[in-house]
Amino acid sequence: MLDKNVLNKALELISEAFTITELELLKVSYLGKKGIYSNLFEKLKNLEASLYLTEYTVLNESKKEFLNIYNKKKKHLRMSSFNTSTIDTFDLTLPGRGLGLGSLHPITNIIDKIERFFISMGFDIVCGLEIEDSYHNFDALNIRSNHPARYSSDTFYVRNNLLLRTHTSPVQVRVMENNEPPFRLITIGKVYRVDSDTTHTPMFHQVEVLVVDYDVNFTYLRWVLTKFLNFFFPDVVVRFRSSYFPFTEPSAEVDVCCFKCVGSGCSLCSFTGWLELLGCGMVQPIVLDSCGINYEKYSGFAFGVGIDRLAMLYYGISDLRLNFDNDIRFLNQF
Amino acid sequence: MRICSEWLGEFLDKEISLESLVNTLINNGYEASIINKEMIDVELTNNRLDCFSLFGFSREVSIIQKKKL
Repeated sequence: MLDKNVLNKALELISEAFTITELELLKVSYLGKKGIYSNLFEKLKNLEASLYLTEYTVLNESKKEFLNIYNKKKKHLRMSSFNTSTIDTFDLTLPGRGLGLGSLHPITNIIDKIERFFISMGFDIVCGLEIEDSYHNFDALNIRSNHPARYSSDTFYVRNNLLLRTHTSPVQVRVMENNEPPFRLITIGKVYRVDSDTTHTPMFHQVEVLVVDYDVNFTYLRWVLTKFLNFFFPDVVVRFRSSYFPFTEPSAEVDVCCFKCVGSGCSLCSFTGWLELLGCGMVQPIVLDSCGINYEKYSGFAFGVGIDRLAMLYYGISDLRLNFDNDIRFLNQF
Repeated sequence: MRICSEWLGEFLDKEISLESLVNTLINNGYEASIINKEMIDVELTNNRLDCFSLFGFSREVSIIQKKKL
């Protein structure tokens, strides 16, 4: 009988509850650890065995009933609060939330900059095939048949003769084969090499510049390169070191003075004071010949830059792989 | 490539100081630097296979300096 009174009282209180918080407090007071129901259950323990069982089931039933009514009331309160309170407090005259603008990827920015620079000098922009045959990627560029760059540890092979291009030079070769000089062009695109660490990724972007004309010599190369590097890094000191590439003669590698330490040596430039940037040179006559150009009349220069490397130096990105992780926290900064 | 100056002395004039040697090399397009009193470090490119041995390198130096081995 006691529990029936308890239940009736509880149901009365539930129907009187006006807010959800009130209802929750009520539930805690009845069903909580020190609640009324747990109290009653405790008292049951003092009874005899036979009585205990019956009383226990009765008490349980009333507890279930309580929960039932409580859930119904809670649902009811929730629905009604949705209908009344939100409309009263919602300001219909507020302007909408704007759509956020996206931003361009750092590599896209650098490519745009490069294109603008060379277009202003009257260069053409050429794009080409990413899967090439080994003739256009290696043979036409005077890379001997047993050169280590041809091994599958350095180049991705698709089938016997087909590979993913390791530089954008094959595009230039195809242009030279099918057209008459003079040429003034840049090729931009993705290139693929088997290499993966902090400063290398299997796929990266490259831009290569080619100029073929009468009387082209190294001074032109130096001038274009210095102008190009000053466009990105104003007033930077540039140095040329003699080097070797199979497709250029003479060849050089270009370094810029390290911005961080201004030449004294730091971790960025591996304590040399200079940052390696790109390779260049006068085009090998053999290469011109294999493209069907008369090397006695024409000469040319070429240079190639890794765009990701340029982006790393321009924006101060420390790990090349961040460019391709698609992490919004990284992309937000541009 | 790291070269010990003592060994170079076998083929070349022993009176030449390491510094002047490094300077002549730099003027001729090799990236050379002195590591310590007895060694120099020279950057060699893949097309100059003849320079990869001590004798070959000394031959190159002797041509640059216009002296005999």
